[in-house]
Amino acid sequence: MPNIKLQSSDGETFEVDVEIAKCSVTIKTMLEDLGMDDEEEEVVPLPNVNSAILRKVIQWATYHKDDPPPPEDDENKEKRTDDISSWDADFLKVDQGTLFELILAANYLDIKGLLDVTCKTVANMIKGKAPEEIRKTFNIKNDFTASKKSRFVEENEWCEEK
Amino acid sequence: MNRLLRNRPPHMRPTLVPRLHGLYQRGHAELLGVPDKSSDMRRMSISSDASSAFDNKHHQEQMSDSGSENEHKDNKDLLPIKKRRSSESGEVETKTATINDPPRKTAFRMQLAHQIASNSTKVLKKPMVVVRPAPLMMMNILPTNNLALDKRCILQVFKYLTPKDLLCCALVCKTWATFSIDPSLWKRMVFIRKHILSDILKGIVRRQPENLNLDWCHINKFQLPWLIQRLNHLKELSLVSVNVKTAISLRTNHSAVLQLLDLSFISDFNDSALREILGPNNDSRTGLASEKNRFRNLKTLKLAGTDITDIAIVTSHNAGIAQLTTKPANTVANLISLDLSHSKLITELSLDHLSKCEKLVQLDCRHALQISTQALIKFAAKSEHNLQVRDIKLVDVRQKV
Repeated sequence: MPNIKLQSSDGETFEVDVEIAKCSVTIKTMLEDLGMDDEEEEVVPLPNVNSAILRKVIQWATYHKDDPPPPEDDENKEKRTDDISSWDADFLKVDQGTLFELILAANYLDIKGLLDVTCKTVANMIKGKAPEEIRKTFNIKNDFTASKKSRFVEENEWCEEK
Repeated sequence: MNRLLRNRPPHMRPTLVPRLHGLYQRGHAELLGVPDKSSDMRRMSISSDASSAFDNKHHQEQMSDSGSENEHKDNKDLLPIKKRRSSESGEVETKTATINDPPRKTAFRMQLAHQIASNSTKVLKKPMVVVRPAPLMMMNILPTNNLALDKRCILQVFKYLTPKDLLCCALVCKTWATFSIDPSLWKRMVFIRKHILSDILKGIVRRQPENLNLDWCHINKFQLPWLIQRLNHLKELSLVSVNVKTAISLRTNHSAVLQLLDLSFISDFNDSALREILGPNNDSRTGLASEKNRFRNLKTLKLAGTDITDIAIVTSHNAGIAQLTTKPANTVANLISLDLSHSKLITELSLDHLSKCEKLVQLDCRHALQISTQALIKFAAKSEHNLQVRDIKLVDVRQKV
């Protein structure tokens, strides 16, 4: 099995199986476009991902390398968020910063499965909570005035009816 | 009118009269008074006639005596009036263009507006806010330490939330409020059996959906055009069983991107209604590229259970299905799918017309009583698209095995 070197933003290189690296559509297209030869020792720089996150991403991709490809997104269907596998749930027991960075990395590397599961995890942190609780969870300051807030609620009441 | 003229300095009169005259002639008189003030209305119309007489007289004077303008110029050297004369009609078009003009123009408009307002019992309502779609670009790439305020993260997460949860999120902070109405989260909006209120209309415009479903909604003929004009990305519009007047109001629509239009089961939706919507454009407003833009990209049209017919070949003017299949209707070239199921009045004659639609690959005639399966099989055989008939009366592309 040929290997490929991925270099994180802080200069660390990771050697990974090409098949695992190809979980990432970004890397896959990059390799196809460049016409990678197996002989050459090429390093793929990933300037948007730091080593801690890249390590996590590789760990995830290694575990999921034999997964069937995910189905196409159906825009019209409401997405479930309660179908996270127990391995993923354990894997994502990390601090919030890491979780968001994983989302960014998955988005940049175009790894749909990882993006899916990380977003679901964050969505579950939001679902069913009151605004005040959400603010506390994500450490966000309330910058609404009371009048603005009530107007917003009034104007968007129809959202609730569904 | 006369009072107004008396109040103006004399040199303004040549400019004012044609304009005022034009304004009243264009039927703005109906803005000036409401029915219970009919006396006012009458006065208005009389004065408008009077002014037109005055107007003509004045023009004649001006034409016969070309010195009159110079006279004005001598009297007041800030006279801004230029005259242009069109030789064929003999009408005089006056145009004002100097630096000291705008304030005077404004003053005049103010006065006119006051006059209009004082003659009307209707309360002039000013909208509280301008309804705008959510901004496309956010300058929020500011380095924040909190990734929970990063658009790239949050939008991805918001895709997994229901509208109700999104509303909750919108109340968290201003940044999230902006994210929560991002068009990427609202590609499809469904309002079935809703009474459409102005808050909903505003909400729709802010969210700029691509696919809007208003089936069985109470939406009137003023609301729909207002809405459609403001949805530049709308690709699919479903209006199943709305009021027929609302549906006809689509005739003012010039959407070039709309691809799917569902007008099924609208009661009393007949040939003339269809002609209003798809037929030649009667709107003479400038800047609207007439027929060319009307539903230029419409690919799917659903007319199930409506009262349309195929009378076109009998009468000279186009209507019914033939309407769809005759130039300049854009549907000739573009239509891919047509739903005529449950229509009682469509007969097999329509099929001949429909064979003119080059791209038509799906035709639903299920429960169309006057169309036989045999005729549809013939129709399918004639087409070059390798069509088949299945489910008794549904024509579509043969699936490759």
